Amino acid sequence: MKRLFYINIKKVLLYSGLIAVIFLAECGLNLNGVDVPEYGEANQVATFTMHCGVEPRITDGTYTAKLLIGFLAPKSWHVAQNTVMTFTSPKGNGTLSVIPAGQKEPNTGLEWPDAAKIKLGIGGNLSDDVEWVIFQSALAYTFSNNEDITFDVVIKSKLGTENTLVKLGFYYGNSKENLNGDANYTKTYYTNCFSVINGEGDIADFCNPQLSVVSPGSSLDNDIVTLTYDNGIVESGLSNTDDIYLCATAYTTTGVEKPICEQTAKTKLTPLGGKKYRIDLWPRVFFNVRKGETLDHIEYYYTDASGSIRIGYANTSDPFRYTFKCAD
Amino acid sequence: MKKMKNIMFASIYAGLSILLFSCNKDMLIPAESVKDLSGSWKIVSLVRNNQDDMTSRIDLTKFRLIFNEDNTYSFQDSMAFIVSDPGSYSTDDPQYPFNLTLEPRNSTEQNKLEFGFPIVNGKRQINLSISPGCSKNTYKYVFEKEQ
Repeated sequence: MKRLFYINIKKVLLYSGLIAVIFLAECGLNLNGVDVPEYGEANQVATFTMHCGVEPRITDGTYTAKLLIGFLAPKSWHVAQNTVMTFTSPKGNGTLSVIPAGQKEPNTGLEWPDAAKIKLGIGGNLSDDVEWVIFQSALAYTFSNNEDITFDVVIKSKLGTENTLVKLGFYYGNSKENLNGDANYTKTYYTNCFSVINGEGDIADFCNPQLSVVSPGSSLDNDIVTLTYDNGIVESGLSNTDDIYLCATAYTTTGVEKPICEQTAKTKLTPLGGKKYRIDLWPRVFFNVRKGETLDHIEYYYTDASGSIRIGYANTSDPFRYTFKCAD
Repeated sequence: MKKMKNIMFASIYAGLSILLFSCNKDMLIPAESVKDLSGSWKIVSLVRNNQDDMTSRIDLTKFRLIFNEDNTYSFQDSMAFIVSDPGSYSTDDPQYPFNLTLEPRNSTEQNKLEFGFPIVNGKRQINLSISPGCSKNTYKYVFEKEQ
C-alpha cells in the first residue's frame, strides 16, 4: 500500500535551514514617516525630516553597513548641489554626502541616479524630469542582534525657482544591500502633490495629467525630443480623430521664426493607445536650423488632418510653449 | 634489436627537438590585433537616457559614420551627434581602445567619447555614449559596419 503522506526529511531540513538563514541574517529597516512642510517658497530652503529605524535580527556575528538616503525632486532643483543631509542617532551623528558620479550601484551596474529611477520609479510623477540623488554616510555602522534603534534624517534643500507641483520621494536603505529590491531594505515614501509657490512662470506640474508633455523635460535643439499629446483628458475638436498633426513655430535666439505647419507624414503623431499620441523629432533638422543658429523655444498646436482644428495650451487658442534649456 | 631501439629513440628525440625549438613565443601567444575602425558604420540601436529605445521611432536608415584609413571621419546624412562637421579621429590605444576622440576640421575642439568595440553575433560593433544637447541627456549609439 502506498503511503499517502510521505515526508521527505531532507527537504524539510533544507527548507527549514533556508528559512532560518534568511531570518537570522535579517536586519530590517523601517521608515516611520516623513515630516513635509505644507508648501515651499521658490528659491528658499525647505526642511524635511525622515523618521527611520533599524531592527537587527542576527544570531551569528554582526551586521555592518553605511546609511543610504535618497531624495527624488525635479532636476531643476539641483539637489546634489543644494541639499544638506544630516542624521542624529544613538550610534552617532553625521552628515551624508552625495554618492559620487561614476560609482555604480552594485546590483544593476548603473550609475546610482539611473539605478534608483529603474528600481524605485518616480513616485507617480507624470514627467520624468525628476531625479533621484542618493547620499551616503561617511562611516559604516555595526549592529548586533536586537540592537533596535530609531533615528532622524534631516534634509535641508533649496527649492527651485519655478512654481511647481511635484510628488517628492524619499528612500532609505543601506550599503550592504543597496538597491537589491528586497522590501526589508528598500524603504520609500512619496508625498502628495507638494507646492512650490511665489516662483517664476507657469506651474511646472508633475502631478496632474497634461494635454501635452515634452520629454526630456530639459533639452536643447540638438537633443531628440518627444512631444506626447493626451487626447483623453478633455473633450476637444480632436476627440474623435486619430489623425493628429503637429503645427509648430521655432524661434531662434535672434528671433528668426521657423514655422512647420503642414499635415504630412513629417508632422503626424503616432498613436500609442489609450488616446495618447507621440512624435519624436530632432529640432535642428525638423525646423531646418542653419549652422550657427540656435533655437530658443518653440510654440505649437495640435491639429486635425485639415489643419482647421487647432488645440493649444489648456485646450485654448494659445499655443503650447517649450523653451530649450538644460537643468544642469 | 638494440640498434633498432636506439634509432627509434633518436628519431623521437630529434622530432621533439624540432617541434620545441621551431616554435617561438610569438607563435604560441598571438598578439592583440590593432583595431581597425575604417569603413562605413550604420546605426543599429539608439537608446535615450537608458530608457527610451528610439531605434524604430526615428529614421536612422540614412545616417552613416565613415572612418577612413587616413584617420579622418565624415558623415553621410545627419543625426543628433556630438559633432556635425567632418574631421580627424584618434583612439587612446591602437590595440585596446577605450576612448575615441573626434576633432572637427577647422576647430581645435576635441570631443573625447567613451568607446566600445565589441563583437556581437559575429559582427563588429562600435558603442558610443554621447550627450549632443544637455549633458544630463545621454544617447547610447550602437553602430555596425556595413558589409
